[in-house]
Amino acid sequence: MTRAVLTAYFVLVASFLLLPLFFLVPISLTDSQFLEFPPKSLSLRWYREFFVDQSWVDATLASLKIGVGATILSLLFGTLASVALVRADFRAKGLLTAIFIAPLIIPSVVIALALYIVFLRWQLVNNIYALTLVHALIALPYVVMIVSGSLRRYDMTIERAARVLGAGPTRAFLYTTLPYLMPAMFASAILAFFASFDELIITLFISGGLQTLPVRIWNDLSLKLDPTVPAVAVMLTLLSIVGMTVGEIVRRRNERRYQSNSVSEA
Amino acid sequence: MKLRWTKTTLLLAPATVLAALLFVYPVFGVLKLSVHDGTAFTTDALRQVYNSQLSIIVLQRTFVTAATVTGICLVMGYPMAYFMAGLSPRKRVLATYLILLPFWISILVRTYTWIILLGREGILNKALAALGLTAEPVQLLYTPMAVHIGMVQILLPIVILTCLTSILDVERDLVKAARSLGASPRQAFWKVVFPLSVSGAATGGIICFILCLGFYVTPTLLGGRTSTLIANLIDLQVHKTLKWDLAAVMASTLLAATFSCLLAYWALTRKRSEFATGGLAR
Amino acid sequence: MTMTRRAFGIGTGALAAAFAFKPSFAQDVTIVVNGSGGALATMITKIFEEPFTRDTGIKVRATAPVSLPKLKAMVESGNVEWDLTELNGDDVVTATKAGWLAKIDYSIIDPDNKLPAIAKQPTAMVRASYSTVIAFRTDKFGKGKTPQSWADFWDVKAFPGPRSLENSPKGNLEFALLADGVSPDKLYPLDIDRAFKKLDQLKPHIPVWWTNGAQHVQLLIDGEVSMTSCWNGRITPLRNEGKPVDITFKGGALMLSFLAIPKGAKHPTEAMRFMKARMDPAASAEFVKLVPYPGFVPGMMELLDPAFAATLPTSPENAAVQFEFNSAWWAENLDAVTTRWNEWLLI
Repeated sequence: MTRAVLTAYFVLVASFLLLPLFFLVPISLTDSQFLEFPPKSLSLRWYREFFVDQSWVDATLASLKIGVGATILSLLFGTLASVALVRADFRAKGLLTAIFIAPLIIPSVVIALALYIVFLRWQLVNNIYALTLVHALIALPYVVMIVSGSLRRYDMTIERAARVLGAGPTRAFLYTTLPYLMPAMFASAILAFFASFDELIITLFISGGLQTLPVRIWNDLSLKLDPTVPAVAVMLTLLSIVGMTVGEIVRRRNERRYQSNSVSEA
Repeated sequence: MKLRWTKTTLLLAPATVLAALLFVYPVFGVLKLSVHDGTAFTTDALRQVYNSQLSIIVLQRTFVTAATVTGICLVMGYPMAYFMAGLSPRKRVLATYLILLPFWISILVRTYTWIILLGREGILNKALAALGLTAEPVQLLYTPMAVHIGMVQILLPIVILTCLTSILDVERDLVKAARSLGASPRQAFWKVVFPLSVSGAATGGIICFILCLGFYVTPTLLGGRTSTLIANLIDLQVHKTLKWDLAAVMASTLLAATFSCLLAYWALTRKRSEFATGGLAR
Repeated sequence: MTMTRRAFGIGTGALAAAFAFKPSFAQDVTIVVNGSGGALATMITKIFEEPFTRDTGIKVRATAPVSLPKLKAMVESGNVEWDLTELNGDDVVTATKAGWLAKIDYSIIDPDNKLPAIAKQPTAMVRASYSTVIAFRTDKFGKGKTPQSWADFWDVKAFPGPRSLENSPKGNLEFALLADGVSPDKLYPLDIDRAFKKLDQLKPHIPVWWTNGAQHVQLLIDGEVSMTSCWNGRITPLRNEGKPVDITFKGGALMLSFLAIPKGAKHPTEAMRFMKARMDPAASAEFVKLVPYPGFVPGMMELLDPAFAATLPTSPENAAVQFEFNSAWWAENLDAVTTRWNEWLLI
């Protein structure tokens, strides 16, 4: 009896979480120039519109560039830092960990304001490289948390064995530990990419005229009437589902291989 | 195998430089700006903010909204987590996947869908009218209720997952013990699972509360004039009235509130290392 | 030997002649022109910037958005990126008072002295004029019944339904006073208390206060509101598409938008030459057909279809029923009024 009630409740809440997104699909498929539900006739017009409109394409390319750059940088910086955080002993360890993770917890608007003030002084507003670095900072917490978590669970005997067999410390790390870390790095790369790809508030403050995809959507939400935004939303959602599925598959394969016991980290 | 300090320094350098230049230094700049006008220390901006009825009310509103949304999320999320904890591992993974799915979708997009749903000529109003329940369109969009709905939808998955983790932890070890000592399932829940998982749920609540404090997109898109939260006010002071010192005071206040919550969080999780990061991971 | 020298002489002469065809006076200068971006920027590039580069060799890089904080930071740090920027009326007054704008040399922009005096301010030149007017749904109030004044806008019995106004005191105080019976020529200095009292009456009927560009259009089309204040250019294209919307210029606020040169700009002379290009009648006529915010370009109105010219905010019939927005008063009072506005609105 309680079970049945709970099941019904689960379905209800899950649909509250998911249902709104289903409405996007028919709305994006309308042939009309305005948002309408249900659509009177179906077409892919607004999907086409997205690829024809240079500003949408530019914004997408900018987001991809920044996203890839931020992912590579945060993955590199974050993994290096994780190795030190897990394996070295030093006094400021707790403080540094807190600083690396803080950008995830501190409200974006605080960071946005702080960066806007210094970027105006440094003439870095509207600079794509500076923006990429900022996105790398936003993505860093994910990499540090996941990679250092995975590293902490790592059985050092394998690397030690490599050392005993004559490999130098760097070689030993590259040939034994790095392959083990790969899945965690992959998972954190996906998270890092999405953290950058989805970032709005900080970008809104410091990007100047440069438009990333979220900024473009944000501008469009109040500037235009047509259903390009739902069409973009549907495409983004599909991309997210693919990203999440890939991430989940890699995580599970990793779990099977190393029999880690984490419940559901990704 | 411990690392030597030169190597440690080299490994830490890139991330540290990045965080120092783009995070620590700017944030300290904001803190300084709130008490320093460029030439001397001053409490001018502080006094202006704390003597202004507007900033006090918006600050209050932000905390009340955060508390309300957190409360709703906990009340809605805990039973969800309890249900999921009772599923077979395979089904649980599937359910987790389902709950996490919206979490991967742009906050902007998720908020946008509520505009379509809640508008005067939106889907919900049309449905209500078609069912004959309302004669006039109901004002749903641009109300505090719309903001609450939008925020709960965004934050609920986090709360569900933190609750789930804590319930699973308790169940694994203690429920079997309680049952074997003769407790009924109901007793096992109310006497063992619930009290012990409450602290886990509380940590989820704190994270939810902190995230609420910084909400910007949802109140802007779904709220009316009385839904303005502190992040919106900061934006206003920066871009419209150009009073950066006031914006800095508000940002510092927000920062202080976040830190107080984090202290509470650490106090709760000190002995439960699994929460140190688990709840924050996406 | 002489032969070669002569040949050489001819050669260089020809070369010099060839160079003379290409404008060589402004090689490799790029001016940075800051505007509001978006679709408008694309049109400005096509209609003004590309021909300007062809004619003068001066390249133009467009940036966005218009931001007073950025201007302030640039001038104060001495590292000025923009050579020219768009600004609205009260921004010009604020920026001039703060000393962020350079003086403009109108002998470069307007050598024949054809621009009307109103367009030529010491630190800024009028780029465009636009109106904030009443826009409304034609299908919500019954047949033939349309709002004709701000008094009608305030009359929630005769014209029921939610409304929207801009989230800014600018213009709204004037509208409230007009609705309260103040005559347009006696608006300034504004009676702030009276305006807020009048706004109090309408406050409960405004679920949403628009903040930018065409949000008001979206609200109107989506049926979120039945009436809103609105920029004059946004509604006509929608009406032409058959949407049930219209505007009235009655009681509209005629506002000006400017081009100005930041103090310390790197290429002020080139920027002024670009300002001259922006005053070209034929290009401006082309531009106004796409964006109906005309300004005072001499000789432009004559190039337009009279029926179209009549829909512009500066046409004599429309200008007569509007009032001129007083930027100077606003710059003087903006701080105090904005603080009061925010307290009034957001609490």
